[in-house]
Amino acid sequence: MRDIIRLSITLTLVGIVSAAVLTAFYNLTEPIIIARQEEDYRRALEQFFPGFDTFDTETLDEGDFDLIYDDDGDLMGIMATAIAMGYDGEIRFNLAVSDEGEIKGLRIVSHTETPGIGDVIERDSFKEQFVGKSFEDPITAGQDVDIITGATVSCVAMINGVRQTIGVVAQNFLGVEVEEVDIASVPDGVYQGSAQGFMGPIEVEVEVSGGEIISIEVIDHEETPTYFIEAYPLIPEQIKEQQSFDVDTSTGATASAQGIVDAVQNALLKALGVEDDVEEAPEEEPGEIDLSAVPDGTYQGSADGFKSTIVVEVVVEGGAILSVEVLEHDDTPEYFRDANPLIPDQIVEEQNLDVDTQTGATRSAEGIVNAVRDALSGALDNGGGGDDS
Amino acid sequence: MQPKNVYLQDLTRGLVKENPVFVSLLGMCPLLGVTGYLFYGFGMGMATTIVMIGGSFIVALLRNLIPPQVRIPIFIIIIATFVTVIEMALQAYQPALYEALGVFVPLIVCNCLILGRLEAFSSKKPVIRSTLDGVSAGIGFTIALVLLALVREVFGHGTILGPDPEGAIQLFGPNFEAMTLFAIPAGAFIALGLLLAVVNLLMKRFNI
Repeated sequence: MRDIIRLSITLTLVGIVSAAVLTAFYNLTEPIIIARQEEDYRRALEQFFPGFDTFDTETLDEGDFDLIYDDDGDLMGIMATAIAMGYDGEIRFNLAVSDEGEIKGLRIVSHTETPGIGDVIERDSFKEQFVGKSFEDPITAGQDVDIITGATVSCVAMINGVRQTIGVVAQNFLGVEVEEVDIASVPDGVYQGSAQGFMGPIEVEVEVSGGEIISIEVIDHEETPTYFIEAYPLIPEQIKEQQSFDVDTSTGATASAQGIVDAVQNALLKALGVEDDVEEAPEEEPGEIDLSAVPDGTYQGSADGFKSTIVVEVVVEGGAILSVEVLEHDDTPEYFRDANPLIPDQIVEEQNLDVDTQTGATRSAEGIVNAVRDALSGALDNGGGGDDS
Repeated sequence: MQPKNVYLQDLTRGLVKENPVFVSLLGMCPLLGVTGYLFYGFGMGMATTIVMIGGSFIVALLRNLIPPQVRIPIFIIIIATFVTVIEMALQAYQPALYEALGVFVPLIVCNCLILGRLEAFSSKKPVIRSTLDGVSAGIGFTIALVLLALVREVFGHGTILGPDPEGAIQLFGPNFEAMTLFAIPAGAFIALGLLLAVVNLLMKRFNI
């Protein structure tokens, strides 16, 4: 018994001394740490908003938003501090937005992405893609911003985070009106719509009857199934129940959930004829090539690959592609071999250019397809003949 | 081999002959986790060395007062106190290093190298000898971290003294394709294995 008391007292004493030392040291370093973080942040502000004077902080669910003012008290823009869910945890970032809703810069505050892979999001070449984009731009992977091969998840997470954050900024601080859909005014019918999810577009089919949404079905998506079940069918159920788009998307798959909501809105906007013209623009389907019209011959064509020009030679005989060969390229060999000879083989096998380019080297694969298209359309333009060698 | 100077022996033992990493294979977790860049490896080594020296000193000082039944919890509290102090100091004065080392700084607490030396040496030997032993083990650990980090940075990133672009020296031309394998933890195992083989070979050759 006496032993236990003695041991307890010893341990307690050690604990007290330790706590005292730590408290003293904490008081010593805390002001320095806070000052340093503020200084880092101020330096970033100075970089994005040269000559700013003061800022006010507003906290929303989506993050902290600093409204930046100049000497005259005019709004210069907004610096958002928000979080995106990356491959391996939270990516905390600052997004600088001008008073006109244009991105001035992106700063990664902290992240835990895989060193050497996911940390490419810190590269200037990645971050600079966002500069100049506005809330009206799609800011979508593969459309107007590029992801870096091998770090798809980290890049997509960052892109989605930026898109959502600038949307929040535009709506809350720049007075941009979101197009409200009045469900009651939608005529009865079945409508399709699509919007960006986490990994790709989500397409939905919405049935409206008597001014109410009676069914929502996701007809196509590229989301990871294990996450997607967190959002579907939960989100459609909620939209139907509340007959509103103001549902809680903070599920285990927030980006997918938001994508579904956006897609349903998109479908109804189209039904009301608001979004018709927007839909046409982004997809630039290159004209289909009528193979049977291509005269026999050997043709060369070229197109941009990942970081070099890819030159291919295509042999056509009797309206069929006999062979496709890459003559020249300077893409990274380790990646390029994921695309070559796989893609040429597929083109020959399927006899059309609509092959799956989602390889480990998507951009190189697309480059090959485009080079083949270039060769064939060149052959057609020459009105036959061909430049046989 | 009769030691002439017991202090000198304490001070040099951990550097090569009983190097905590190359001979005892202790402290693998931070060793593999933070050696992506030379700067990180050196920073981690120094942080561990300071904890090692402080811990050895305090434990040797209190060795006759610590009841044997609760010595391990007391060692841990002492180590944890030093580690937390180091962590706050890094955050205040070396934020870049603090960010890079991340969770591995608090994890110094459970580095078996430190607890092992405290238990085996400092809890039994006088203050000066214990402190020297702490210096020795800490520096030995730092040497190993620096060597491994050097290999990994050169092959994995093609630089020395990165990742800060201002201080980094690009060793190879702009077309150098870094061997990412060495930059990730799995590559650390491979690099460590190769390094161990070289060190063992040298030690055998020179009869250390």
